[in-house]
Amino acid sequence: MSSAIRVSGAGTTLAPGAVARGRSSVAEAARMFRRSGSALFGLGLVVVLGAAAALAPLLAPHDPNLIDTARRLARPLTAGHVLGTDEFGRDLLSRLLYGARTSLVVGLAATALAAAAGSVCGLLAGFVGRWVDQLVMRSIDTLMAFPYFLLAIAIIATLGPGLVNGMVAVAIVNIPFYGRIVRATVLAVKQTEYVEAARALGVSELRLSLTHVLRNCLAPVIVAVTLNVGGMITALAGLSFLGLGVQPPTSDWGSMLSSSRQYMNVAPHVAALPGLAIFLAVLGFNLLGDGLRDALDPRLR
Amino acid sequence: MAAVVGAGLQGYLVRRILLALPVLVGVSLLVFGVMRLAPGDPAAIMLGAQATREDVERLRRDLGLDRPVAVQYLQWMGRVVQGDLGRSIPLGREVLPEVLLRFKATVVLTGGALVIAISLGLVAGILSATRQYSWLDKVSMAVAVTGVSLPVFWTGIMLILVFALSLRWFPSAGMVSPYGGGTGDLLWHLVLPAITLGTASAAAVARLTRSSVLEIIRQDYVRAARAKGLAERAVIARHVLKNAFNPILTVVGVQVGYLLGGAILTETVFSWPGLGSMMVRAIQARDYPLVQGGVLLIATTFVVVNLIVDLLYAVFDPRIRYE
Amino acid sequence: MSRRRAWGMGWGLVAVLLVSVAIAAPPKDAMVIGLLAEPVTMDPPQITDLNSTRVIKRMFEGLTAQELGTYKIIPGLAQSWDISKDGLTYTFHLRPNVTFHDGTPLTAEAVKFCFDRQMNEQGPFYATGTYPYVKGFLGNVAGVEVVNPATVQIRLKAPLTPFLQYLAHHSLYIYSPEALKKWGKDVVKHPVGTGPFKLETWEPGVRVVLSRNDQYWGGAPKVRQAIYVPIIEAQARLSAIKTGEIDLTMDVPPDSLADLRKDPDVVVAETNSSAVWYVALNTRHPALKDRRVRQALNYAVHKDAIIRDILKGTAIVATTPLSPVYGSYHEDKTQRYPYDPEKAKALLKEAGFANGFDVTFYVPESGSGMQSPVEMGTVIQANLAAVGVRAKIQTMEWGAYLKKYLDGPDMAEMSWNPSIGDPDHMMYMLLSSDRFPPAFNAGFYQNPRVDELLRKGRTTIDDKERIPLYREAQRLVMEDAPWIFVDHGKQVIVHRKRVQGFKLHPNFDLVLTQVWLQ
Repeated sequence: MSSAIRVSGAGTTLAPGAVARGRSSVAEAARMFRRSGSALFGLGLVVVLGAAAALAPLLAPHDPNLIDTARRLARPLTAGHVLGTDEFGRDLLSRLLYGARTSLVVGLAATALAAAAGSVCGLLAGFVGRWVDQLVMRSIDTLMAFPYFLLAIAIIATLGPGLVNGMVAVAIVNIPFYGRIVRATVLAVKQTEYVEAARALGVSELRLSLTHVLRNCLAPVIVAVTLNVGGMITALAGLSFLGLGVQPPTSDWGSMLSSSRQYMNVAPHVAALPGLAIFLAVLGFNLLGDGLRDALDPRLR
Repeated sequence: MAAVVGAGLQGYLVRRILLALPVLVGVSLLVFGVMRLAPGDPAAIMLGAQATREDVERLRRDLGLDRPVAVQYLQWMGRVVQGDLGRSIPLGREVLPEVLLRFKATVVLTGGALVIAISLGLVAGILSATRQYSWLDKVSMAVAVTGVSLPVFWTGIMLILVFALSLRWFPSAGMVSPYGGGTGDLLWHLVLPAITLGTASAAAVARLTRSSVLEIIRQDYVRAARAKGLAERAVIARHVLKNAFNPILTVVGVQVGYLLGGAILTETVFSWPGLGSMMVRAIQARDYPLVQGGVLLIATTFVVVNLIVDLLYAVFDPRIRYE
Repeated sequence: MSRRRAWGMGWGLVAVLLVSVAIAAPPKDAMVIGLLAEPVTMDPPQITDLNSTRVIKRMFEGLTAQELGTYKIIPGLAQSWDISKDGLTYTFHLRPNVTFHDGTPLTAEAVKFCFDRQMNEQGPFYATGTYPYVKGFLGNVAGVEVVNPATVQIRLKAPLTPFLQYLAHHSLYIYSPEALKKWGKDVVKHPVGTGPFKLETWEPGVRVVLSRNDQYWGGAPKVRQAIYVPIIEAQARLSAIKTGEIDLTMDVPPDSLADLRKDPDVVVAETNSSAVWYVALNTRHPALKDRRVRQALNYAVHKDAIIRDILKGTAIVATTPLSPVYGSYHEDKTQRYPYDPEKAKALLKEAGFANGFDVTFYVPESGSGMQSPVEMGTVIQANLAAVGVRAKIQTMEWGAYLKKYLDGPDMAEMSWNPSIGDPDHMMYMLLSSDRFPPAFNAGFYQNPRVDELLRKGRTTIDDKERIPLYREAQRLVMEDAPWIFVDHGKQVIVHRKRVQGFKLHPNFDLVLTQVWLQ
């Protein structure tokens, strides 16, 4: 959950010093990446899950919403249901596959939203400076002081439950994370002699921003995004777990996990499988993120 | 600003406090605003389905909900600075004692998780860093990334399934046994929830500690100390730990914030009578005073913890006092 | 510290843990009840939730009471009463030598005090709370007078047959005026009544401990201590009752009942209740305003499958709003709606909706008495889809849901669990056109003949005249099908074998006065 977020926020993203030396070739980074077994494993997991989500209509043996109350809570490996069925008799494998779509798409969308909004805030703060910087930083501090999950719940109470609203709520709560990273990068760039030199040569302020800052922000933000997606997926699953996310009959790993609690005694597989899915997705993104960060961080070379 | 308020530790502390105040005001505005934006009227919810419109209107007047929002906010803040957090709408009881009581339970849970996180995480992180690339390091980091990836509510459910329902070693819910029982009973109930909540934290602490310690080990002066022939343990103890203290402190501070705010799911899964689960229900009941009071308490704790962390930074690193 | 020391401390800790756990074994004269949620408040007129009533009904009593296991009215704190011929004056003779838990005596003054507190808006103690039921139950009261210390008289503005049942409702329970004067608003934490139990401690979120009132007028109960713990998760309640950590609980996952019935240490007690679970249909909706369409929906929903598969047999099909618990008032000969999707499609075609229609279906995430709202909603949605009606589900948490329910939704789930045992409280409140929103007839159902019958039923005192009125009303309502009638939930209580003498009560109360522990 937010542990992935906080982990990165506390300093394992790229140091600002990486900025000026960030001219290393992409090929170099790719080579480092390929050398790491865990990063490749993470990439593999993400690709597999992405493919499963994209190909869900082809891969799913049944309609995920097909109710068959006579065959409720069937164990894995019963006829026609490789992973068993849930409390409505719906095929678990199909629901997990379609759930992958929901969880991955919404997780990525929420991350993109947070990254975009956060980056804009960070750019504003770093560039304009002075009172705008103070305002943005205080707002970020306020957002961070607010208990993370409660804020998401309060936003949902305002917007109403639902997939899109859940995405917006989680995105808002994660804006500070990106805001800080981008701001730090911008400040670091502003300070390098490279920029001083360019200014001396008369290059306009605006061109400076577009060419240098954005290029230098790219790497840290990419790393942050991959490390954050896992946390977003978990946060969204958590909201669905509390009943505030998707609406029935849409499948979503979090709500599947929540409704399975009642049947833990009789049918533990209904509780184990959706959680396992969330875990694998998050693990994949975390490993991928770690690999990217190690590959892109010049200090480790 | 240093010139204005004064230098040294005291000045630093005062400056930090002054910076924290707008954050708290911001939090109060945010919680007030978001709750007011949410549809649903606390008076109607409280009176239930059988109330007439006049009843609801009358209750709204009694609770002061009919006044303009800005006025309501100022009145509430005015009372807050005097220590009065108002009364919960559906419960009729004062907010502050209610919130403090549940906060104690959350602190117990968070404390247990923090103990696990720090003891496991620090040890694993330091061991991994000092034995980089050994099998211990690899296993330890694999376990850590796994821990960070586990959704906390799933971990809780799985632990309950295995250790409470199947093996019956631990209770599956609650903070104490119905008949009471002392510290031992509390600890027995605390084990599974603390492990659930602490796992992700421990993993995060381990990873961060490892990278922080690694960074320091690579520094020249450590190499120099080694070259001088100091024993490994002495090198670690004297140089590494002292300088790793800063980032480790950051991690701990951040983890406390995460734990306080993130305990909701764990509290829900284990029916732990903490602040988080009470807040979820209060939000759903649109219990404005309770939600506002609870959020303020959590935010204040977070800010205080950060202040302490900042202070400890300054104690150990005098350069910081002049920021 | 030396290794040996560390080991020693470790074992010491284990020993302490074991000993503490051993000490927390159940005492012989105390029992633990696992509730769904902890009580909200302990001031009777302010209570709206079931779990608070389950606790305070052990500590307070009303002028009248319901006989255990039925809705029959028997004497409570009033041992007898006279009703004037015109039905407007009720004279209650109070039981002698009854005291509150704080030692003050029960007098007619005390009774008048309790009523006045709620009714008199200008009164000195009105501001000590909010009274959700005062308009509903005391709106018809003209005044309460003290005749003498043992006799109190209540005058009504108009005759109202259910009034004696109202007096048995928890909002009209009698409490100590001295306690209210002493505690003011904080009386929510300091309950002082006349009941067989009194409050010992309340640790919010953790437990409520009630202890026996040895001075109880009806004789002290055999159970010395009753401890209520909130266990929100159904799964956790199930484990707790299986391990014996609690002695009695309710609402365990229906799938576990088969297993529990086989368990020799556990008793599963079931009975019908007065609850009815339905889906309100907006009779002003372009499609739903046609009776045939509403009947079609009733034919389309597979109620038996819902009861069998989701509720696991813990309910009976609702063939009328009044469950069999209402005795002679329950009408058996109503129009039935067995599962018949073909008939549903035929009716829809006849009404001009051969291609079905779209509708928004509101479903609460939870709520007292809502059984498994999301699951049942999902099955209903699927049933309707099979006959061409496309219902889009919108879930909401309870607070927002209640608001939406009273705002003219197309289709919305609801469950009504009256603790008043009078048929008026079910049928009039939900199906009379006098009760359009903001009152509870959310679908704007209106049938002039039904209105006439229900209004007459409110003032007819003689059962022989009253029963036919409600029976006819039920037949008409079932033909009109303003709701999708789904089920009457059964009350299912699970308790350990050592709890003896426990009997279920139709309004979901957990009565402990006659219980003893083996």
